Amino acid sequence: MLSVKDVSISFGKESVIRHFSCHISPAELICLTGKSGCGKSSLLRAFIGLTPFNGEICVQGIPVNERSCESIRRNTAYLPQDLSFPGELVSDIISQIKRLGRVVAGERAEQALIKNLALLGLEDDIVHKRMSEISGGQRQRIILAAIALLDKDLWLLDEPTSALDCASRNLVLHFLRIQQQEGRTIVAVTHDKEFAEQCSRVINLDT
Amino acid sequence: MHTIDISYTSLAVGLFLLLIPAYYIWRYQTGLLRGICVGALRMIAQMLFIGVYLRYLFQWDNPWVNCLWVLVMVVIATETALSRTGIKRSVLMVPLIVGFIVSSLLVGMYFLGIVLQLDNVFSAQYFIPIFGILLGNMLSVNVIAVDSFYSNLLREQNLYYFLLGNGASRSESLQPFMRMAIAKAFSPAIANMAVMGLVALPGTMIGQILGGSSPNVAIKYQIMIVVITMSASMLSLIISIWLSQRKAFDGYGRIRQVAKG
Repeated sequence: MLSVKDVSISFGKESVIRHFSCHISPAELICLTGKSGCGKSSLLRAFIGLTPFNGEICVQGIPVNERSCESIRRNTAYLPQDLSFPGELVSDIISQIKRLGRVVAGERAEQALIKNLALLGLEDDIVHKRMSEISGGQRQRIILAAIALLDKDLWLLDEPTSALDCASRNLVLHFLRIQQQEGRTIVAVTHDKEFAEQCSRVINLDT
Repeated sequence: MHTIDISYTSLAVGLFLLLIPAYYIWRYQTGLLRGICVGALRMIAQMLFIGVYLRYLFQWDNPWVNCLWVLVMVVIATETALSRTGIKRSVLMVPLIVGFIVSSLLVGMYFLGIVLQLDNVFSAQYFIPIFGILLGNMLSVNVIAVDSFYSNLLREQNLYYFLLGNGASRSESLQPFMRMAIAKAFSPAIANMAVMGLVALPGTMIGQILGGSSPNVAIKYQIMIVVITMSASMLSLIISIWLSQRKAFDGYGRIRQVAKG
């Protein structure tokens, strides 16, 4: 699914990733860990060409470059840290996300969304709430529930549990495992050791 | 109707009214006292200068000189916009110039040639004031819109990268920022348009009535002035932001260093 060969990332004179290589197979749930500033988020973004890099990154055999990045991104779900959306209602966020890919049509999409929200510990009436009425952790889970409606094979998640308590984090892990079982490849950046322990493989960028 | 002239002595007496805002600016220590003094002096000097050059422009009434004058106004408007936004000159200069010229020409010529049906669209009496009012409005709208577009984009770049990273094209990913920029730049104009004539009597209309036109003619001109300034401002904003994207993003859609400093 994802192959990284001899990749280096630097910002100006500061080098954050040096000659890094790895291979990620389809339907893996991978965790990228390491100290703050070690380049985890930059590497995650480089997978879809959002961070400049040297070396070679291939997604489903296609090298990431200026010409291919848009088509690679169409098959990717990317969730950055601290994402805030314009719009007043939670339903606005969901509508915006639904426009980002192929969605199960009609009533089935509504049912799938309610199911995803329930798996993530959220009531279905949360979609009618105002953005100002929900917490950061609820927002993270709503975005995950909506992203899962899209037909994307590769998920890149930057700190998906950063705003969650222990119980909610376990619900997210369970939800990600379901996605993995459905054939999705998930790469998550995290500082959360307990989350990392539950993933199928951990890549520590400090070593 | 005859317009009463204001003598220079009367003008000086009238300027005493500026003491009211100046007093309160000083009284509440807003830090704007120097600004209002310099601003007032600049306004007086510039307006006296305009009086001189408009007299010659109207006397010569030469299409080439008039066009040259509009080009000078475009350069000044561009320089003013560049100094008021926090975006690099290399990103914005050409887009602003192209935006100002293309939109003022399209809308201005449509008004002068098709609506007014002038035999000579370059006639100084119409060409200079119409292009002046268009450029003045385009300048303020562009400054607000471009600044809002890039400052929101830099502040909320996670949203842009979220949309881009999930397969949206660059222009689709920029839509929320475009929406915010247009709303911020046009909300005051739209609000003013809705109450025009009820709450406020616009400057162009008052000027024409004081200059001897009938209220009927002044109203029709005022309606058209609102329409052409809004159209040209929107067109120039779209052109400027669209053209600036070539320098503001790389081939991957990543945001380059666009802010000054």
